[in-house]
Formats: sequence, structure tokens, C-alpha cells
Amino acid sequence: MAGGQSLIAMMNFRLARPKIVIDVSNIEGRNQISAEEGGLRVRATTVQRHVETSALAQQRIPLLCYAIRHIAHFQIRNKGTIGGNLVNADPASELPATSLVLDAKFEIMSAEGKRTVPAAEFFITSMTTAVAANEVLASVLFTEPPAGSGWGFHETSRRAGDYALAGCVAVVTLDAARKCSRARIGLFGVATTPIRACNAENALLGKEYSVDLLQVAAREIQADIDPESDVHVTAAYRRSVAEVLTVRSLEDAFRRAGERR
Amino acid sequence: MNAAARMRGVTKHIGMSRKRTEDPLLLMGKAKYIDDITLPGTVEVAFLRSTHAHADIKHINLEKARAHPDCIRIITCADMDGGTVTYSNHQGNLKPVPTPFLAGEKVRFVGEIIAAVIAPSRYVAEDIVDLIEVEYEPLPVIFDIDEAMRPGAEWIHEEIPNNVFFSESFYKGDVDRAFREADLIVKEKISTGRTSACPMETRGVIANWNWDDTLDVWSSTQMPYPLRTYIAVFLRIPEKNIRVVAPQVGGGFGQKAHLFPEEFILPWLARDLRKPVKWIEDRREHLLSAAHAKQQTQFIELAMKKDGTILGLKNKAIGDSGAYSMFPWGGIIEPAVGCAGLPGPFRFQDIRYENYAVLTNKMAQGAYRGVGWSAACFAREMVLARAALELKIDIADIYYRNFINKDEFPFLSATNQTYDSGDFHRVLDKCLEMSDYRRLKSHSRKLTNGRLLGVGLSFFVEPTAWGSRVAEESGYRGVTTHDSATVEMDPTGTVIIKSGQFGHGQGTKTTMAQVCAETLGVRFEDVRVLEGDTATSSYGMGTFASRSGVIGGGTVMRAATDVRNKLLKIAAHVMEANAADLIIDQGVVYVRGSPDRHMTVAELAYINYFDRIRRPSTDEVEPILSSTRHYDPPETYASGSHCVIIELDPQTGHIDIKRIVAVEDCGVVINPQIVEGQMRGGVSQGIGMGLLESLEYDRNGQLTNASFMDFLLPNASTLPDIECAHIETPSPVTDGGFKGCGEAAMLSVHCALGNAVADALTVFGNRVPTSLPIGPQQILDLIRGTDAKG
Repeated sequence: MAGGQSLIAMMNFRLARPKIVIDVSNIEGRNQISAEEGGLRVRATTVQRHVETSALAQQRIPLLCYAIRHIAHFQIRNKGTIGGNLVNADPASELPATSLVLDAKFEIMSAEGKRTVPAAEFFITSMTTAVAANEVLASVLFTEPPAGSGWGFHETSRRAGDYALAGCVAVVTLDAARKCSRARIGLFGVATTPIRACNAENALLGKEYSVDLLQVAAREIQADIDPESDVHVTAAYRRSVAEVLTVRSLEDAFRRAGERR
Repeated sequence: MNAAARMRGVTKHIGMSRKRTEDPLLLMGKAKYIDDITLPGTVEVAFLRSTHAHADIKHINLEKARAHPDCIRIITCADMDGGTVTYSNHQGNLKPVPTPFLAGEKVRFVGEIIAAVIAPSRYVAEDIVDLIEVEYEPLPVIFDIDEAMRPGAEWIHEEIPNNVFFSESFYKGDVDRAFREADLIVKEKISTGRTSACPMETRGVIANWNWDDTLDVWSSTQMPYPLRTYIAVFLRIPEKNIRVVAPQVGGGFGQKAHLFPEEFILPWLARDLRKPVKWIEDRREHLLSAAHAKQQTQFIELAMKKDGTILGLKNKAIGDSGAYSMFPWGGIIEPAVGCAGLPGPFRFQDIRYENYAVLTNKMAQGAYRGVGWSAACFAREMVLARAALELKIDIADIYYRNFINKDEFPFLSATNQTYDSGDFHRVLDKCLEMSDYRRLKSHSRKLTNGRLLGVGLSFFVEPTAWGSRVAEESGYRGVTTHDSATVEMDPTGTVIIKSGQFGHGQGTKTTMAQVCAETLGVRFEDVRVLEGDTATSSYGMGTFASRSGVIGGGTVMRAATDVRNKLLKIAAHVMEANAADLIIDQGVVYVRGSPDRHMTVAELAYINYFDRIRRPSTDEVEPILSSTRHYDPPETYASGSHCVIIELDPQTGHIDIKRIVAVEDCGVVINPQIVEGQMRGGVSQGIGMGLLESLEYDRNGQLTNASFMDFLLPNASTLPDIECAHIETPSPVTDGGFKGCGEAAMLSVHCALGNAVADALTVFGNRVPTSLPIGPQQILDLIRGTDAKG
């Protein structure tokens, strides 16, 4: 157990009944962010608030800080960890989708050794990841988007701090001719895992910004998502709003990318 | 007699924003809530609650559970002799619905208690609960009122045919003529969501049986005295041997103004085990089994002239009462109380309504701030909103056109409620002015950030001072209430109030002391209020239904007046002056016109108790400075208005509340700061009901959101600061001119929110919300016309 923000609640409901709980929240050097070639490595035990307020993270990958700010409330982010959030793999959570968009690499350890899993292979289904029962997540490398990139993040929830009803996180890279040379679109709350909207990404490649382009591209997400209805909204609501949020995220991403070109 | 005349003291206490005497303990974290109390040797209780919504219990196997090494005792229905908490009153066709302490042969909702397990701790008790095996034989689940009332539906209680346990109809005037003569008729089906008061502190009970055969009970309740009485009645224990204490209670909002099975099971166990037993409810239990509220379906029709004059209303209200009829209000609390409040501030006289309370396989509905009125007001306001849009008249002008004028009081409403006083025009003027309503309404709805501006108004009339008369006018026939207070001055001149009211957030320890200080002429600091303990306070129904300011204020004022008169007699004798020439202020008695002739109240009290030479003869004045008085006030009606200003995102349906203005007229205000606390708290809960809260059962009768993860309460980020103002129209009928103020916002602010949504959506046409809560789904449905009839 790292921050215990999900586990303790599950134990209170007696939905989780672990025989043994090992608390790793007090180990030395738990909060670690280090700059590496191409990105930032964050130790799994790092509390979310530490990353959110880190000057290094702010400067190198502001999207990461912005996304983390949408996880619950600051009191929870003071306890909740980066690793705990990612391994919990709630499909409506902000960080898993953000890790997809940032081409994150997950370093997983066990008594036998280390292995690295790319984000695309990390999330298996709702609340399930590639981390096996005898393994722990050690750290995550969040890749810094290439020069000329801009990002956008939009979600909608019933109240500030709730899990998103739907959300989108996007990174767009523009070339010297202001054409889109690389795109990453991650969606959350709309399938059993966070997903990359690859069709929508492809629709942007080689194109210049236009309002129409964003709408056409956003429409492409429909083939990739498979939302469910719940007590709050219907699947149709999620489909419709995910598309709206994709447009808004791309709008911001193109604007920011344009400013950096 | 007016309020001012009654106040002969020079120093004002009533009307002052005294800091609450309750607060230091709360702020220091030193207040003792029920879970802070642990008696030596306490054992804890966990309940096995039904996992089926409707089933016969074929068999309960306790063998494994009893074999657990820490199992102290397990009881089921048979142990308590099948006892019930059953509500019945004089109401014509209200059928009693027996509510068992523990389910017997049948369970009727998910969360119903089947067994109680006693163990050294709650953790172990829950382990043992898991070892109990129950064999259920599922029965058809009655999911909603449509299923319940369908011919051939399963009867949830065999003695209640067709699941309808209460029905009532009322008419006044000629409503058919009103509808014939109408230029516009608006009909809507209005649904209000099922919610829960969710006080910050859940329920909890501790019971201890003493070796002298007396029983002590601590309960997080709003009504310690009725609990004492009914423990005596239902468990057959002499009432004199029972003491009920409500310690610091962390909110009730009506939900804790019921007597729950747990409050009888724990005392029974204490007697059985001769050990202190404790049960603290967890939040999941709370959402499953503490009173639900407000779910109604209404079919409302409005008849209006084209100038906006309301001609008449028809309504059919069906309360989804759940599986039982909660004691002591019964399932009638939603539909019957609601319909009686339909006319609100309006003068029309032609009305017809019928209402039904219907059983379903859910937790029962009971009282929650705003009781049935939340639903009835929403129905009325939403048909008015629709009419305003269709006639293109601003809702504010419809209000003004239909208001009762201030010179028309007392006014008998269409449902025969006797409004004592008010100045609706002034209240609405104030609300419009504070919110800058007219100017905002003239703005474009489309904002530059892509959102839509919505400005919504509402107006309410709140029946307050829940005594016999207001209860009668609110649909409770023949109910009576008993409330009293004792005011007692001790030999050193300090004063104790023993009150039958019981504050659990309302600040009655402060307000009752203010009323006493002013009436009696002593210092505020010299008055202490004892409440919430049947051993030290005075019999009363407790605090709920906007009653304590008026009823508590009245009892204290009467008793304090008696003590003052007695004290003046003594002073007249000791100071050799005429009682009529004496003034008491801030603990000093003066002779009028001779300011140097004075004595302190403390000196006089001491003489009265101990100085046989100087005090008057005991034949003349008994040497006890004490009085106990009762007050069951006439009906008094408060009023007020809300304005809610929102920004609505038409693509996501998200609502951002920018401003809320609240204006309240609750007569003479005892403590403005405390009234504002009520206004703000009510607005918060009203916004929760309006925007977020809905307990969602699935077709199998399972509550799908029994946690705060998915049952959403408003939080700090939901609400802006709330701008408050007071208008004071003293009640001409109550002692002190007080009116209640507790429910207020929950009759109104959700309606203002509904109006704001309708206003924002005018860019799409006439789109008026018809159900609560107004979540993002409903907004998009309204915009797309999949839900709207416009």
C-alpha cells in the first residue's frame, strides 16, 4: 500500500480483504522526480502533490502537472501516489490516459528482476494492469513531447474532484510549416481502459489547424470508444461529450503548439 | 400585544448576532459526540442486513457465527418477540404499516435488519455477521410506484391492498371553472429524486442497563423525549426508569427526527446482556437504512389568464414511500404535506389535489428539511416557469401579479393555511435589487466563453413553528405537540434554562439564552441552557420542522416572564418600591427615576433563598425562582426568495453556479448570524437536491450508489458565497413575533435553479426541467428535445 486512497476505502467496504498489507508510504526517498534523457522519471511511491508542485515537472511537462491537479482534491493528492493511481487503473482517472499520451514507460520489478512495459501495453482492463501478483511498479518514465508540441486537457465531472464522466488529453506537434507532424489523443471514462484515439490522431497528421479539421478528427474517436451508462449519465452522453472535449483539448493543443513554434 | 411592548428591558439581546456559545467546544474538537462516549465494558453491535429487496426468509443458520470464539450474542426477530414500531394517527384512511425491529419471515428492502451480532468490537462483530447464512426465497421486487400500483402487483405487506397505504383528496373553490376560463393550461409530470439528509454524523446508539433496573440510552437523535416515551411503550419499561441523552449531535435535518428500529434493539440488548452496548452507523448503512426523502411523482396542471393571473391548480402527488411508514411521521409526510403547501405566496383560491403514499421495495421515506414542500414547490414553480415562457411574461411579474398583499393578512390560502403575516412584495423587491435581476435578464443568454447565462428566481412561503396548528394545516390531522421550558434562577442570580428543544447545529443554547436574557433582564453570560438530556431538561418534542425558535422562544419567554415577575415582587419588598417602578437590565434592578437606588439580581436572589429577615414572607412569594411553561403556538408562516445565477455549458450540460442571493422574512430575528447560517446551510442542501443527489435503485431493488463516491453531495467547490438579507415582518400571533426559518431554502433554491436552467435554455426554446436532480444528462436531453415537450 502506498497512499491507500483506494485500498483503504475498499477494505472499509470489505471488498478487499488482504491478509497482509505492506505499507511502503514511509520508505526513504519516496518522492523522486529525475530528469532523464527524453523525459522525467517519477518513482512510483511519489505523492501526486509532489509532482503537481514540482518546478522541474512544471517546466518540462506542464501537462503532467495540469492533469494531476484534476485528481480528486489536494488533501487526497497529498496521500495518493503516482504509482498507486496508475496501478489502480481506474478507466475514468486522469493519470492513466495522460501516461498514454506521454508515451510513458513503466518499470516493473520483482524478486526475479526488472522489466519495462510501454503504456500501450500496461492497461489491460478496468482496474487491471500488466503488473503481476509478484511484482510492483517501481517507476514511470514520462516522455517529454518533442519541440513544437502543445497540449490540451479537458474533462467534465459532476463536481470538481470527482472521477470524470469523460475526459480527453491531447498533445499535438507542429512542424515548421505549422502542419501537424505528431499527435497523441488519450481518452478516459469512455471504455474499460484509458484509450489512445489513433484514428483521430491519424486524421490530424500532415494537416494545418482548422475548426473543421478538429471536428472531423474528433468524430473519429467514436470508433475507438465503448462507453457505459451508469447512475450519472448514459453511454450516449459520454460519446457526445467525449467528442466535445476532444475538440476543446485539440483546440488548446494547437494553440499552445502554435505559440511555441 | 406586539413584540416591542413585551420587551421592557433596556438592553437588547434579541436581534443581536451573538457568537454561538456552542462553538468553542466544536472548534477545539472537544465536543462529545456519541462515538466519543465509551462506557467501561462496552460491547459493540453489527447488524446483518438484507441483501434482497423482497424475499421470504426460509432459514437463518447461526451455527458457524455462534461458534466464533468472540461471539457474545446474536439475536433475530424471534428474540424480540416480533416487536414493531408502528405509525398510526387520526388520519382518515392511513393504514398502519407494521415496521419490525428485526425482519421476521420477510425482508422488504435491501438493508433491513435481520440479525444483531454482539462482539467485543465492531470489527469482530462484522466478521461474525459474515458467518451467518440466510436462505432467501426471492419475491417479485416492486421497483417503483408504477409497478406498485399496477393491478395484480405483489403486495409488499399483505394487509395493504395494492400497496397504497394512504390516500387523500382535497378541493376548494371551483377548479373546473378555473380551467374552463383559462387562456393557458400547463400540464407537467414532475419527478423529484430520492435523497438523504446525510448529516455529517451518522446515527448511533449506546444503551446501558443499570443494576437498579434503570436504563440509560444515548442516541444521535433530534427527539430525546419522544424516544424515551416510545422505548417505554414498545419495550414495556417504566418511563420513569429511562434516561435518554442526545449528546452533541452532528446534524439531523429531520432524518434523526424518527424513531428507528436500532433505537429499540440496543436498549433491548442492554437489558438482555446487562452490559453497555454500542452501535455507530457507517455511511453505507446510513445510505441504505436511514430515512430517505423527497421522491414523488406529481401530475400538476396550472390554469392561467394571459395576463399571468393564476386561476387554479390541480395536482396528483404520489410518494414513493419505500417499504415502511416511518415512525412517527408516516409515509404521508411527502405527498400530504407537500400538497398542502402548493399555493405558496399566491392568492388563487381554486384548487384540487389528491395524494397517495405507495409502498415499494426501498428504504422508507421520512422527514428531511423541506419535507413534502421541496417536491410540491418544484412542481408549482416549474409549471409557472413554463407558463411565463409561453406567455412571454417575466416570472417576477407573474409573482407580483399573484402575490397576497401585505394588508390582506391573515389570509386563508387555497389549501386553508392561515398565513398570519408577510410582505412578499418587499421581499421580492429586495431579492431583485440584490441580484440585479432585471438588468441580468436583459442580457444576451450567450456569453463570450461559449456558455449560457441563466438567471432563476423563486419565492416561497414556509409553514413554521411545528406545533399542533401548523401540523394540522400541513396535513397532520389531530396531531398535538408538547413543548416546555423551565427557567430557574439560583441563589447567586445565574439562570438555567431546561429546554425541551434540542439544538444539534441550530444554536439554541445561544438563542434561548438571548431570549431569556432580554425577557428576564439578566446578562447573556449568566444564562445557561440545558437540553438534550431527559434527566435534566423539560419535556419537549425536540428540534425539527422550523419549530425551536418560535416554540422554544415562546416557552422560555413565558417562563422567564414568570421568574421576572417574581423577582420584581421580591425587589419591591426589599427595595421598598413599587414593582411597577422597577426596571431590570443586565442583572441590575433599578427604581425608575432614581438611578442610584439599585440592587443586583444576585443580591436579590440570595436574599430570596437565604435571608429570612429581608425577603417577603413565604406565603406571599415562594422562595423558588423557577417557572415551567408550555407553548403550542398558533400557525405562523415565513417567506423568502432566492435568485440563482448560473453559467451553463450547452455542450456538456455542466452548470457552474456563479451567485446565489437569499432573502428571508422569518419575523423577529433572534440572532441574524444564526439565521444566516440556516439560510446558507439550507441553500447548500437545496443545491445538492437540485443538482446532484439521487439514490438510484436498480430493478432488483439494489441501491447502486450506497457510498459518497456516487451519491453526490454538494461540496465547497459546488457553491459560491451566498448573499443573504433579512426582511422583518414580525408575526402578530406568536410570542415575540418570531417565525421559523429552518426549511426555507429547501422549498425554494432548487426551484430558482430550475428557473435558471430554463432561462439559460431559452436560446433553444421553452425547455423547463421536469425532474430533480438536474444533472448534465437532463440538460442535454432538454436541449435535444428528447425530454422536453416544447
